[in-house]
Amino acid sequence: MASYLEQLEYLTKEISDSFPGNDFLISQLITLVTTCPPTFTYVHDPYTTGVTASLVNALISSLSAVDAKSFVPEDDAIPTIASAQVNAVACFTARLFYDTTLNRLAKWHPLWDDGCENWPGGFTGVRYNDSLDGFLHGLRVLHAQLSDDEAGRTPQRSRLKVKAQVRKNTVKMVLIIERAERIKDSLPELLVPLTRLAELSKVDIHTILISQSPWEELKPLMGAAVDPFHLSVRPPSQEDTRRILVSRFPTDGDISAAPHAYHPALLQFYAQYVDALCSICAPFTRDPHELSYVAAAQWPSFVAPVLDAQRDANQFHPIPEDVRMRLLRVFLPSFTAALEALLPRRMHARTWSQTPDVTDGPASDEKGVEMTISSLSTLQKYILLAAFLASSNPPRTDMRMFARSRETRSRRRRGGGTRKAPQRSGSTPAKVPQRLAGPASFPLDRMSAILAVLLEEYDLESRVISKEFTQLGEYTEMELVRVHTSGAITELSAAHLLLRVSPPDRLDGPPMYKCGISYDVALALGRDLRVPMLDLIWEAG
Amino acid sequence: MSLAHDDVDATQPVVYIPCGDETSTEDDAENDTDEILAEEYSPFRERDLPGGYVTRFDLYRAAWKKCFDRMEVRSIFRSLGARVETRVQHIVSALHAPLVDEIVRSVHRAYDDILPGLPRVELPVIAISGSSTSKGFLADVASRLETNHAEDAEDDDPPPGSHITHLYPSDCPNIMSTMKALVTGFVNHPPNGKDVQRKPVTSLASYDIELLKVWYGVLRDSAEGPEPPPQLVVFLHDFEQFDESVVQDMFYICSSYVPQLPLIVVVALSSLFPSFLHTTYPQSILSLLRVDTFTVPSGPTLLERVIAETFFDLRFEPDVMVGPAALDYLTDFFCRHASSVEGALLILQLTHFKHFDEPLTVFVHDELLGTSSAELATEKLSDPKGIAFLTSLVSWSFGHQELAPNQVGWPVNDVAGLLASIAKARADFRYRLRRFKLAFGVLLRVRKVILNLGYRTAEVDKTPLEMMSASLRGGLAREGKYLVMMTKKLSVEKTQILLQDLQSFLDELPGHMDETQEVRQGLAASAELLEGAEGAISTGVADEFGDWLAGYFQEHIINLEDLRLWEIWYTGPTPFPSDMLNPAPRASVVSALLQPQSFLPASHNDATPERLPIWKLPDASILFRRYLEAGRMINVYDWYDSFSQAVESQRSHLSRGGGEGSGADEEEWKMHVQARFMRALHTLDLIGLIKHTGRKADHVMRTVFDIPE
Repeated sequence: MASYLEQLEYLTKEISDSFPGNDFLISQLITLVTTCPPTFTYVHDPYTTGVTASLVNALISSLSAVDAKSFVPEDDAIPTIASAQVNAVACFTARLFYDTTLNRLAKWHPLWDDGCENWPGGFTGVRYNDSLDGFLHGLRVLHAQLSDDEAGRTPQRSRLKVKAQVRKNTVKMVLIIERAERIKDSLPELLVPLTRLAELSKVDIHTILISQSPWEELKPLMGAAVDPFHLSVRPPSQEDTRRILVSRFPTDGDISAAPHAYHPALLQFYAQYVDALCSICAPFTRDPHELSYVAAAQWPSFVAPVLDAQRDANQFHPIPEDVRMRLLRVFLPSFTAALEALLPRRMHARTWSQTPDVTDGPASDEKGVEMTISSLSTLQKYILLAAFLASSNPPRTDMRMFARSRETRSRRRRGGGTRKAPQRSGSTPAKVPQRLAGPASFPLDRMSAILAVLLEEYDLESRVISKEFTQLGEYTEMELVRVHTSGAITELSAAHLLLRVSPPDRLDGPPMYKCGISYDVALALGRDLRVPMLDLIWEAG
Repeated sequence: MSLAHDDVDATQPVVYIPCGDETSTEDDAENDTDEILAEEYSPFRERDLPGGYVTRFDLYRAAWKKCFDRMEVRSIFRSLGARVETRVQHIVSALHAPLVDEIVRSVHRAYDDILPGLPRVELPVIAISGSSTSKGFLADVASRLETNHAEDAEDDDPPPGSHITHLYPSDCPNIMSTMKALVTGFVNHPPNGKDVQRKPVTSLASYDIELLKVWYGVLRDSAEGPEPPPQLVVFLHDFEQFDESVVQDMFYICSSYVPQLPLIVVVALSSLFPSFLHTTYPQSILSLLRVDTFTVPSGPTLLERVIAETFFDLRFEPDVMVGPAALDYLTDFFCRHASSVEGALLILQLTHFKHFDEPLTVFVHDELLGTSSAELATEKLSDPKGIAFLTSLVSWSFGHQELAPNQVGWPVNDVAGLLASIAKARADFRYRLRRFKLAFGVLLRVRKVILNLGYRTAEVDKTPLEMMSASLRGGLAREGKYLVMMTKKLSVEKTQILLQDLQSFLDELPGHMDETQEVRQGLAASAELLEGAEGAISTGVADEFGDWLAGYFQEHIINLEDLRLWEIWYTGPTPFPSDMLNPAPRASVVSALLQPQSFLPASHNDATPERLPIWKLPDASILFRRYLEAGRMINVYDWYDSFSQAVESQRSHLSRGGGEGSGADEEEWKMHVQARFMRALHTLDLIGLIKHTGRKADHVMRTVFDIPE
């Protein structure tokens, strides 16, 4: 018994080392699984679900790898653990869920030559994946089989029942379900049975749900489900994150190797580097996954000067402190640049690590704008400009901004009229320019009208107009209803440069759109087409 | 007869559906087809040759096929070590080839150099934006991936083999069918040659990715030798059309199985916006992926290359030369609307098609008129039925500018002579066209050399495509003069460089061309002068060469419309029928309803007035006219009343002088009017001009307002 506890302690320590900062969760879980627990546990982790899921997996699988018999062969109290880890996203149908669970609990690997048969349960032709009943039955058969194997006996039918009863407690099943919040959508009928699986199947099975959302959001109505044993995971502290990152330094541990970027002698330097990175990136993200992504992407170029200095050495010379400090200071600005490019995955880590000049990052933004502009056709550019104007100008100003007939112009020139007295400051909040308030939605025909004005004023010279169009503006009007114009609008909205806000199946009235490009892109487009955008944008106030 | 079937590939957007059975050999059946075809569409029927339509159609097919083959399929013999391998190379795919290579390489290396220290293995995603601009592109990539073993034999490491599955948006309405399509796409090819029957209920489900894992395990183990394990490539076509949540789940599931399953997703974005993935998918999904973005080359350079290598290439002689009007339209359409190769090909095809409307184009290739010998052709042309055709031919052949002022009588006296004169005109046109192309090539080359020598001012404000169209109009005089001026100012060394470059330009051309002789002589004369000359008089050489060049350009860069019978081989200033490609359907429907007389076959050929009296209109138009006069909602009964009045006046106009019908007839007439009203109403309904609302009894709503009449 003592040695089993020692083994557990050793295991706790090992897992704690690879997942720093989760000691409480680990000890709780170990206690829960190895003793007599409530049969349903809910792990709620709103911050780093992925890390927690891999922690639980690692923990349970190493627990099940512990061979209970080797310690105290005669003691019944030490259970052998059979575990299955299931992802609720991957198991989108009940059948898939049943198959995966049973196969993994039984450690059954389907073979191609056998026609990929699922775990047969000792009998051929029996299916356990047709319904919940079948699944529960399968669990019982599996439990009996595992217990029997545990007893080290050949499964003789006559004795099976008796032996299984004697050694019933020695096999304990653990079912871990990741992304459990998805069960509610994809397998809602399974949620209640899963919470009381042990009760229903009458075998020793422990269900652990891991999810980002709190249990209250998943909880079925009417109180049909058992309340779980709650475990909440707190967000990792900066120190924990740092330790996680350092523990993931991908070194092979060969100290005598020639210098390379992942030489074990660099570990200490790496820790310093991670320190600097974490302190800079902490305001933006604390997800260890993301931070280690950035760290991995930045490290090769960061360490390159050091390696250059030691190119011909076959042993690693320690790096002087002042060099490290200088290097860190030089690279500080590039950390934010890396974060800006890598966190939204505008670039992936490999490209980033291969980009020679990483210190000037912000240029990528302008490049993106250029890319977008260059890939558009002329008509699409005009449509986007019109959409931007429709989104940023209030509709009541359209007449003033775009009306081009003679009388409106003269009316505008006359101006005058009664001028409102300037409102006292403080009585109303200052007006926010529309471009800061986000795009407003507009009906398609308003955009078409603006588009017509733009085409008529800025594009007409470049066109060859056939003689059949005699009236002023007739040509442009025709152009607006052509197939390719509608096609361009559809294409832009498929590319999310125009956002359709009304549902596509609504035929009543004109479709509503929003503009999907930013102020900067609109100005760049205007420059490209020689449209004076600043004159056309209505500035409030 | 269908083009899609026997001639060119089936993906092209224009196909011809024959209205008669071509395969029947009976003569009368043939004739029927001819007549039907000719009746269907024939803008110049009055001066067409009998049966000319079908002959011209065949000629069109031949001409377009020639042009299309040139653009799309070109055979290149590429020797590779000992073996000679035949490859079909397209002008377009030659342009794409570097990118295809790059994509294939990045697929192969997707799992090779993974950056150490990443938190998880990412699912490699290759996003190809703008893939819709050329449909062949993805097929190129896929076929390269499938057959890569033979291709890249020179590499040290053989690239991994690839298994490919294609997913289309229509197959993937939900996650289950998506996964099923993905898994079965691979698993349907048994890994070791023998398929194993799976049990429907007790085996792994067909949408279970575990099944793919088992399959892949067998596949990997059965591979012998040092070959790297095969890769699994999934193509997602028309990616924008996929449901976002489904794709998110699919990415999630796939990414949890890498790298045990070396899945690589190739995402074909049909638009040209590479940021689509980033604007559409959340960071949590993007962080599972490693997205490499490629953009298919497109834009004016692509078009320029296609045109330059077909219509402006000396090695290729198209049956029909595209004129500046069509070229301008093509350029404009390409920049303004859709920069796709398919679109450009379509425009060229339609240009060809339209060109063959002209009855005279029956002479485009030879003067056999679809018969087998010259005698038969003469006979056919002498047929009195084709007199209008003959007349037009004669008047076009010998317009007043072709006849010398002092000539008396006709230059030809019989039909055979006429045909011979056409042959002469064709030879002349071809000859002048070749010289034209050569001169244009020389002009571009001189410009390039001068630019390379560092004279930025030689940069004209015209794009190469604009230069082509300007040259066809004969409008490159200014540019030519400027280049000549620049040439005259060149120093000895630079003149030397220019001459050498032009020499090598000529050497690149096929040697048998007579047209190059003139240029060669000009060059040789200048080179001789240059050799003998000393520093002082050397500028004279440049001067002389410049003069020669000026004369050369002036002589050869001509307006092709000055040639005799150019209409047959040159589309010239004929405008492109842009409404065919870029129609305005609603405007057309409305104008058809308003002015049916310009759409219907003219039965009574009186001069069409602006606005017909209402009783002359077809029923649907009568209804539509009343529709326009109504308010937002239309009372159907009132509508019917006014319609029956119009029909009544129509009746009285048509049967003027006839007596009034009896009571029974009157009853029947009412039924008749009602039926006509219903039919017209349904027609409008079908077009979408009426909306039924339950709001008001007996009322329908207008959907179209503000129609300028």
